[in-house]
This record gives sequence, C-alpha cells and structure tokens, in this order.
Amino acid sequence: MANVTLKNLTKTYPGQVTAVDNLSLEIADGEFLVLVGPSGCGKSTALKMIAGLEPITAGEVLIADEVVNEYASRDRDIAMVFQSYALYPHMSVFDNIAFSLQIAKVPKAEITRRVGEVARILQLEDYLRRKPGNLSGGQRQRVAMGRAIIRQPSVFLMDEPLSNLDAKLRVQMRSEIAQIQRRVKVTTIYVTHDQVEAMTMGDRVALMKDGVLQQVDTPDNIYNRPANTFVASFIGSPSMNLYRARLEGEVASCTLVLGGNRLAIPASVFADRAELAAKIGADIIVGLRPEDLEDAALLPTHPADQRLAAHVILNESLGSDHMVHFPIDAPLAKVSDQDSLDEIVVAEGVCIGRFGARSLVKAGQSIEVAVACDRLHFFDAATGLAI
Amino acid sequence: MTQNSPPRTTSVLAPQLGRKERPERRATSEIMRKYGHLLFVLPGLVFFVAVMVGPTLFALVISLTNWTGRGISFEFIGLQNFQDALSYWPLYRAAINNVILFVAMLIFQHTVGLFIAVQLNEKPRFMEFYRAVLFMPVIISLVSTGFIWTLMLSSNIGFINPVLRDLGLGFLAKNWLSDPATALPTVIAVTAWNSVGWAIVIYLSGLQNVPEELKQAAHIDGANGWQTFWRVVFPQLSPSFTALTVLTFIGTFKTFDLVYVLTGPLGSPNYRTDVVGTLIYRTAFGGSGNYTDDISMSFAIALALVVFAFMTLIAWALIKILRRREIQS
Ligand SMILES: Nc1ncnc2c1ncn2[C@@H]1O[C@H](COP(=O)(O)OP(=O)(O)OP(=O)(O)O)[C@@H](O)[C@H]1O
Ligand SMILES: [Mg+2]
Repeated sequence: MANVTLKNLTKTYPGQVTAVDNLSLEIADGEFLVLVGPSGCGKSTALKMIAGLEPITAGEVLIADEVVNEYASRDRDIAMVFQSYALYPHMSVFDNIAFSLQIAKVPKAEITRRVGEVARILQLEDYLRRKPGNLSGGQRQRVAMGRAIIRQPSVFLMDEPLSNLDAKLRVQMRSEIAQIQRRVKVTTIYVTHDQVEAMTMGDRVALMKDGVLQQVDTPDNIYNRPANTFVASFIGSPSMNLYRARLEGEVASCTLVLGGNRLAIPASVFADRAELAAKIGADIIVGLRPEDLEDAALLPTHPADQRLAAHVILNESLGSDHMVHFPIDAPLAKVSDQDSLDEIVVAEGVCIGRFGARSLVKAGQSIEVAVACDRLHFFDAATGLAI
Repeated sequence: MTQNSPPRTTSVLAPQLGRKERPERRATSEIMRKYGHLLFVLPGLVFFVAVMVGPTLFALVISLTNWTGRGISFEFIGLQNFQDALSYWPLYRAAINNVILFVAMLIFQHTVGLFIAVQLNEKPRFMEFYRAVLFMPVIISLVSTGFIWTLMLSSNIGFINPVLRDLGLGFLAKNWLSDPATALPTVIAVTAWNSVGWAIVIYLSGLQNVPEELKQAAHIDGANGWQTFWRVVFPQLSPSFTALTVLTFIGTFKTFDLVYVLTGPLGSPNYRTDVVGTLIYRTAFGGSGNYTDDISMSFAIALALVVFAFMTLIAWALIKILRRREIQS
C-alpha cells in the first residue's frame, strides 16, 4: 500500500519530442486514478516512467514518499498490466502467474497456495495448465491481472488493459477490474483513451493533452465542471456543442446571443460563476451538452425565452433516445486534437441534441429546441478556460 | 507436347467463343474449372522435373549398374552397389568426420552466434556495419574462402604462424592443415568463420520478433537480465533454434568445396578430414591424377543416394523433434 506522487515529471525523447511536460499529480493510498487523453498525449510514457521502464528526463516519482527515480523496476514494488498483456507464451497460465514468485524463490507450497487463491478470484482455476495461446481474450486479460495481483504490490499500473477486447467483454472486464481493485485496495493508475472507462472506473480522472495535464478531478466534476474547452469536448459522447456567443444585458436579465437565437440566462447561473458577470458584453464560448437540449414538444412548460429555432437535418435514432442534428448559425468553437474513441464527426456548425425516446421529429422538419439554460457551460473566448 | 498444346488451348478457349456445340462445351469448361489452376503450376513443375526429378531417377538407374564412368560398357547388377555402400567402411570414417563437424558447428552457432546476435540486438552504434562484416563470409564463394585460408594458414608465406611468432607464441605455430591433430579442428574453424553469419542473422531476426513488453514484464516481475534472457527471451527463439540446427545439419553433411580446397580430395592428412562429399567425389572422379583404376561412377552414385536417404531421414526427424518443443501460439 502506498501513495504515489509525481513532481514536475518531464520526458523529452531524442529529437525534442516532449512527451510528458511538467506532470504533477498526487495519488492517495488505495486510490483508483484514471489517466485519460487522446492518442499520443504521453499517457504510456508517464506510466513507463513510474514503472521504471523509461528514464526520467526531469522531475521526481515518489512511491510511498520515497523518491524512486534511480530504482530499477523490480525494486519499485509495482505491478503492471500491459495493453498486449505480454504473457509469457511458452509458460502455462500457472507459471505465468507464478513467475514473479518463482524468481523471488518463494517456497513451492506457498506459490501453489497463492496461485490457487488468485485463480479463484479471477475464475481461472480450470485453465491453469493451458498456454496463453489457447485462451480467449478475456481469459488472457485475467491472467495478466493475476500476474499483477499475486505479487501484492503497492501500486498497480495498467496501460489500456481492455483495448484488445471486444465491446461486450470490455464492459464486463471494466466492472471486474474495478471490483478487484476495490477488494484488494491497491493504489492504481489506469491509462485509457476511452472516456467511458475513465468516467466509470476511476475515483478521480486525470486528463492529459500533448503531455500537459489539463484537469484532475472526480468523474462528476470533470463532466459537469470541465476546466477548459478541451476537457469539455473530450469527455462526453456525443461531445459538447461549443459555439462562439455573447452575453447581453445585465445579471438580472441576461441574454445569450447565439447566432440568430437569443436565450435567457437565469440569474442563478451568475451566482455559481463569480467571473461571469464581468464577461457581459464580451465574446465568450458557450457549451451545450446534447442532453441539455430537448425537443420542445416534449416540454410544453419550458420557458419560451429558452428555446432555439432549428431545422433538423438528421435524426439518428438509438431507440432509447434520438441524436438530432441541426445547424446553428453561430460560429463553431473548434477544439484541436479532439479525439475520443466514439467521437461523432460533425459537419461544421451542426449541433447535436439528445432528444427523448418519445420525440417525433424527423429530418427536414423545423422545430423548437428547449435549452436547459441553467446548465450551460461558459469559457473564455481567448484562453478556452472555464468561467 | 508442343505439338499437342495448340489444339488443346483452342478447345480451352472455345467455350468463350461459343462455336462448339453445347455438350462438349460443358465438358471442357468443367475440366477447366476443376483443374485449370494446375496450368499455373506447370512451368515450375516442368522445370523441377527436368532438373531435379529426372536426373535423380537417371542416377538411380545408373546406380543399379556397374558403369565406371568411362566407356559405354555396363551391366545391371541390381542392388549390389547399395549393399557394398552400406558395408564400405570409408563411408563411415567420412561420416564420423561429418558428425564431428556438425556437433562442433552446432555448439559454435548456438553459443557464439547467439551471443553475437544478442549483442547486435542491443542496437550498438554501427550495428549495420558489424552485421554486414559478420555476414560477409557467407556470401564469399567457398572456394575463395578456402583459398584465402590456405594462404593464411600456410607455414611459410602464411599469416597465422608469423603472427604467432611475433607475439612470442611461436611454440603454437603449426602446420595447421597437415598436422593430423589440427587438420580437422582447422577445417571446423574455417567452416565456423564462414557460416557464423547465418547463425547471427537467423538469431537476430528471432530476437527482433520478441516483443519489448515481454522483457519489460519480466523486469517488473523481478527478473534480472540473465533470468529475463534465459527464462523469457530464449524460449521465444526456438523457431530460430530449429531452423539453425536443421540448416547446420544439412550444411555440414553436404560440405565439400571448403574441405576440397583446404585439404584436397583425399581428406589429408591420412583421411583425417575426409568427409562424405570428398569421398563421393573421389570415388566418382578419382583422388589423384595418376591412377584411376578404382573409379566407379555407379558406386559413387549409390553412395550419394545412401547419404541422401539418411540425411533426409535425419533432417525430417530433427524437424519433427524440434518443432514439438516450439511454442504453440
Ligand atoms: N521511443 C520514443 N521515441 C521518440 N518519441 C516517442 C517514443 N515513444 C513515444 N514517443 C512520442 O511521445 C509521445 C507520447 O507517446 P505515448 O506512447 O506516451 O502516447 P500515449 O498517450 O500512450 O498514446 P496512445 O493512446 O496512442 O497509446 C508521442 O508523440 C510519441 O510519438
Ligand atoms: Mg499508449
């Protein structure tokens, strides 16, 4: 059991590629931290530096309050689950799980006992004599987990352990891993680029972009109070609709000018955001989550001044709800390097709303869209930072 | 065949032209559909039959006669040559030298070759250069190799002995190729120099297929470099091990040119370096220019076929055994 602290961790590869830039993080003992970000943002590099597999250019890694920069991997008391699982192909499942104990010259009887225990937790008892090549993806994944937990390390490091599984198995293993972690209560750093994993598994989520940490917070806070437009657009599927807009009027009766539409902003919004009042009159970026948009026909009591007039160009019905695409004539705020797995590519200016299952809108119709104006997100137009 | 093929080709194309009556058209296209793809194999097959199967069968026929290789008189004597071959003790003497060469080369390839491959796999600077230099001997013709080494080993104008003397190690200087104690080891050394490039290239390609993450996983599991190599990396190399062992077996048992150039057709001194290659050559074409009485082409061919059969059997068994211990993936 140990806490992990990263202090200004930096990695520069030859050729001046800064893969990780000044990363500082504190991970509490027993915490499950998810490190998420688009491809190439330096997640694996950060993890490898913690694991001792990649030399550190600058900064410090502390495990249990001890600087481990100069320690070899095997002296850091960590276990790692690789994306490829990296199972030893020539060894049986038993030997794969037992390898670290065999190396440590643990007595045979104890190895057998501990492997048995781990195999029971992971439901691998029937496969102990097989070779990894004869296992299914999910079983291999569990062997990789078994290899990590048998050592009872202070820290688990996992690098996209589920990305080789099919969608259904991924959902299943996602909850299994989270449950195992809760049971063994080992500090875990889990790398993924899947925002669903990030949101569902972690106690806290750390979001990176181009080697720079963007925000660390609980999944709820990351979703509801994204620190900047990048976080806002990365987390959430479909992503948040971001437009350039302007606030007019005063706090008590404020209007958001969004292209040709005007939306009334309730005073409560200003109560939560101290700096927003100062932005009245200035250009800002406004963010609308798809689920905060609804077919006005389903919400007859919705205030008339919190509606958009829209022309539906596409309706993707998912059964449980409808993804309705409609253009808004305000300029789109583009966020570079947006890359989430289940990203939906949107034509420029098109806004997506998630309408209830009972909505009857069809492509080609002109409708009214009810906007939950108390749930809008506001960002600085120049810096992209949340207001 | 050339006379037959044009009409056949026409009938093959005929269905598309649609000139023939229905039933025959059906039949042709049916045959075409089932066996047409074999046409693509034909050129290769013809070539293979012409240069491999044909001569082998021809050799087999000759081996059933007592033809000496000169003149045209011969009689069929059945399997007499084969019977003689199996009880011909020089064959065993030569084969034992091949076995010694094989074992020595095997050890050398799997130790020195593997070691160098592992070093190169660490991607030292100038790796391409080392690799090219180490592989160079493989592409030099064996006759040149033999000739270069004969010169280097020569006691008078050579290179090795004078260097040894200059180093104050004069007592080590020898007549390397004519001293019965050193002749075979010298042949082994030259063969090793010549073929270590193969071992390196084969092991290197095996090493490059071992995923980095496998080694990292072993490190994290607490293994040191030595344990990582022997317990995790080396087992991944078993396909390379198999390939190299079989290639070494074949290479050492069919060796001829190098021995011929280094120590001559008699495997001198006193047959110490005689291998089946030189024995068969000598039996077929004579060992020295002077007397040719004991030349027998048909007997030489019988020897060659016996060796061929044994080599096939052993190579097959080697592959069978070594494959079984490879990793199933
Ligand atoms: N050995 C290396 N040499 C040079 N540059 C590297 C090396 N390894 C990674 N990089 C660069 O560092 C950056 C971060 O790589 P990293 O593997 O950490 O990304 P990642 O966040 O894990 O991405 P992914 O989700 O695709 O796995 C990338 O731009 C990559 O090109
Ligand atoms: Mg990665």
